[in-house]
Amino acid sequence: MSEPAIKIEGLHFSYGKKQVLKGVNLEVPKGSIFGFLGRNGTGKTTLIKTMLGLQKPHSGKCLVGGMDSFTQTLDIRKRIGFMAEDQQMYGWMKVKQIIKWAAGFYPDWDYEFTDKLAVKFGLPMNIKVKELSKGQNSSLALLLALGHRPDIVILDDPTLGLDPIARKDFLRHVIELLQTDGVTVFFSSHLLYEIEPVADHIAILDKGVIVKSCTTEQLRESVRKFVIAPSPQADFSEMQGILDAFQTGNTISVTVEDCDESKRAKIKSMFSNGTQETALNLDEIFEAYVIGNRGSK
Amino acid sequence: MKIQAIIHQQISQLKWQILVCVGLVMVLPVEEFIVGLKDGHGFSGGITVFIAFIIAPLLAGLIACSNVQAEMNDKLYLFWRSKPAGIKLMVAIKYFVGLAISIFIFACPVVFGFIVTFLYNEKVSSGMRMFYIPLCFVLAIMIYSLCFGLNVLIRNTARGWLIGILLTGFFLLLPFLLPLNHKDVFSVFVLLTSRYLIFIIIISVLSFVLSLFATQYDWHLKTNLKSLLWTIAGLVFVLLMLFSSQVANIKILEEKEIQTSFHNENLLNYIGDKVVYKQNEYISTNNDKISLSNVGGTMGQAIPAGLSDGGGRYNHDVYPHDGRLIKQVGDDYYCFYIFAHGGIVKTDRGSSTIEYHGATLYVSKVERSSWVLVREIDLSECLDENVYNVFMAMRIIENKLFVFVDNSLVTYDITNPEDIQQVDAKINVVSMQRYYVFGSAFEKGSEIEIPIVPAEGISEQEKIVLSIDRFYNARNMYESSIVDIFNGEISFYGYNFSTDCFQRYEVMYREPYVIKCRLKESRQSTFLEGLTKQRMNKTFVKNGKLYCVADNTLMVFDIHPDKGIRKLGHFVRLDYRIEDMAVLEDGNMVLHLRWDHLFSPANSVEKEKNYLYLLKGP
Repeated sequence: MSEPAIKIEGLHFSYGKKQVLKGVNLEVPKGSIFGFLGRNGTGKTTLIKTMLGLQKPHSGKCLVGGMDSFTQTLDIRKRIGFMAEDQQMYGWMKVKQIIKWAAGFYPDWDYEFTDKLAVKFGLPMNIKVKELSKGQNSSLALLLALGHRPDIVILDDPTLGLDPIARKDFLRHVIELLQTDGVTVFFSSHLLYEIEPVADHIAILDKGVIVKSCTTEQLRESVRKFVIAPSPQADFSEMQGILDAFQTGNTISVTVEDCDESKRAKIKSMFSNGTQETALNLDEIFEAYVIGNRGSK
Repeated sequence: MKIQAIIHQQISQLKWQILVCVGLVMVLPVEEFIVGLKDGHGFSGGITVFIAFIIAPLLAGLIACSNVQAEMNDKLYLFWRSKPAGIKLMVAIKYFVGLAISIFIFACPVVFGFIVTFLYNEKVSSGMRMFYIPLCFVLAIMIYSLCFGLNVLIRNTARGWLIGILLTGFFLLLPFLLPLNHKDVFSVFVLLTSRYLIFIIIISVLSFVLSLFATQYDWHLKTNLKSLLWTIAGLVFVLLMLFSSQVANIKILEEKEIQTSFHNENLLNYIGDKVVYKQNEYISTNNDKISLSNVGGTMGQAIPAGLSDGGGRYNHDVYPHDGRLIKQVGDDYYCFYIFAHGGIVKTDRGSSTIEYHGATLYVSKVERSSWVLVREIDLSECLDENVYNVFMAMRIIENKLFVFVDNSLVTYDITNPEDIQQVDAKINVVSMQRYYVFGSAFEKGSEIEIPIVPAEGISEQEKIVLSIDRFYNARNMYESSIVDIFNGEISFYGYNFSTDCFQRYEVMYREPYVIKCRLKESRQSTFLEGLTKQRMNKTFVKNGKLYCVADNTLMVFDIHPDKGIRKLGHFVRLDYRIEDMAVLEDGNMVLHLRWDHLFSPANSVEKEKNYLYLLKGP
């Protein structure tokens, strides 16, 4: 198995007394589009800042492209393309000026490529950045992140604030440009439906820890919801992997992770009145992971 | 990384600020130039200096804030920080580009002033002074650096600027407030330069270093109005503490109102080492209170009334001022004083002055509670011709009385004061009309020569002390000395009113007729000391301490040669005047203070009050 593009082990980080990352472990396979999910304020941006070497973790290790993110920061940044949420740039610069400015940081800046991208994105080169629309602003930020042909692209909630059309347009560009190019994309978002069509791997961050990390397909397959009739002998306390359980009227819905045949059989044996098993979409899975009720009865 | 691209970005980013600032600093000089030429008054550099001194440094702070703020916005910060550029290099470029812009803004009115001065030389007033330029320049650098560092840390333009300006004021005041002692770590910076240049540069460099680290480690100090107010309050508190610790750290043990009938009367005198109050009672300390014990009857005025008012016939001078060189022999008390008299003459310029004709040494004795004259010796032969300013001084060493009148020294044996005998013939001594060291701006290490007084019958050391005191402490030498002897090393101390320094000269060696001394140490007065002391009246050394009495201030210094001149205590009463001061045997001090009620009617009894203060010896 090839070396992962990003490897994080036991990462801890705090802002003062507030612990934000509590031992994050994560591996991002090379060439994957990695969806990084988490609610607002769970530490997604903090983790990304650590990956970029902008802040030093209190403990743990973060390797990006095989390099330590804090000691080999500049080398890492040369290989990374980064786009922040609601990316702000020098508004007083013209589009062509900011491209030239950003190119100054990278010896391998691909002018031909960025020119093509500018045309593709429909970016007017002679107007000031502050005069661009939100969608154009995001396109320009993406252009600046890709201009040096990075191995790894980190997108931190890149579509935040975009209208649905602009969002779809942006995602289309991402897929077109990156999926076919062997570039590793680390796509952080709190919007499931945004990630679902593009990501082949998913990780969910909740309260400073990774609660799930696997391929998108595995996630869809392994999480199941059972709708059952209430029964006095129903006891889930011995059962592992219950993400959510709640009662609606005369039925109970139980969401279970890593659902294999043995778990299925166990649930069916507890409820003789019959059970109904359903697959979940990513939205529902995410909801079960981050706000699910883990009650046992 | 293309550095020129970053520099270009910085300048472009600040272009509007630059234009506005240049406009602000240039509008008045240009207006003055145009109006001045039109009116024919020429160009006065005063306004240019004002702008360079006040406006340009404030604008430098604004440039620093704008420079940083444009980059430290959270989202923009992440944008440029994610680029593969060394953060320290990036911040350094930002710092120096902003600094160059600030200097450019500062230079605009200055260069304009010089050009106009050069072109219209004949019409230029003296307002354009070179002196201010370097000072303004470093001030601008300091404000810029502080604002830059603080804005990186605080990330708020207005607060960063305000705190930067406050801190600048604080740092500018701090060296003035702190005693400039080389043992004080902080003051080392200040001592390195008399103009605080290095101190200011150090603060600037520290601010710059702070900005480097704050950016690298993403330090972000969150401030709000409350924390800002606390910061200001903290700075004010520190300043006040420094103020108070400097001027009010001698403990007052007792304050006692006294009645005295004479204005400017010296109520405190020495008999031997003991201090006497009103010539009647010994003063000592008992349970931190003034304790008085009877000397042996009321002595009253030492100088007979007929002489003290000049006898109605002569203009006169008395030494000591109130005739109180008192010596106890057995149970008897004797008082020695010189009385010089003369007549009014017209000078070549037509003004009136006194020409002294004669001088007399009087010896009085206390009998039945009053002074009785027991001996008078004519010293007129000591006076040269045409003496308009007679020099007189006296000191008792053991049983010898050394009397200096004009340029002569006469020594008497006072074993029996009622029958004092001249020991040797009159000796001519070097005239006092010479360079006064405590009025000259000598540099450290400067050497001076003091003529030896060829007095006989005393030790070599006493001879040196007598010579030094005669030259630099003549007025008070009958009761005090400015000389200190530590481990055989002789030094003398004084306050230099020219340089506002307390100085120590050490005696290097003695030649046949002179002693060679060197200025060993100068301790600059602090800003506050300068404010509180108005005129140094008396400076003397006692038991390894230097006492300096000004109109309303008393300062005590430790003068241990290894530690330098180190202030031990400071006492000030701004609305009082210190009339007299003496050091008790236990090291405590007693002061006679007079308080004038400035706003009372002239005939009010509340107009003036007198107090005795007992102060704890520091």
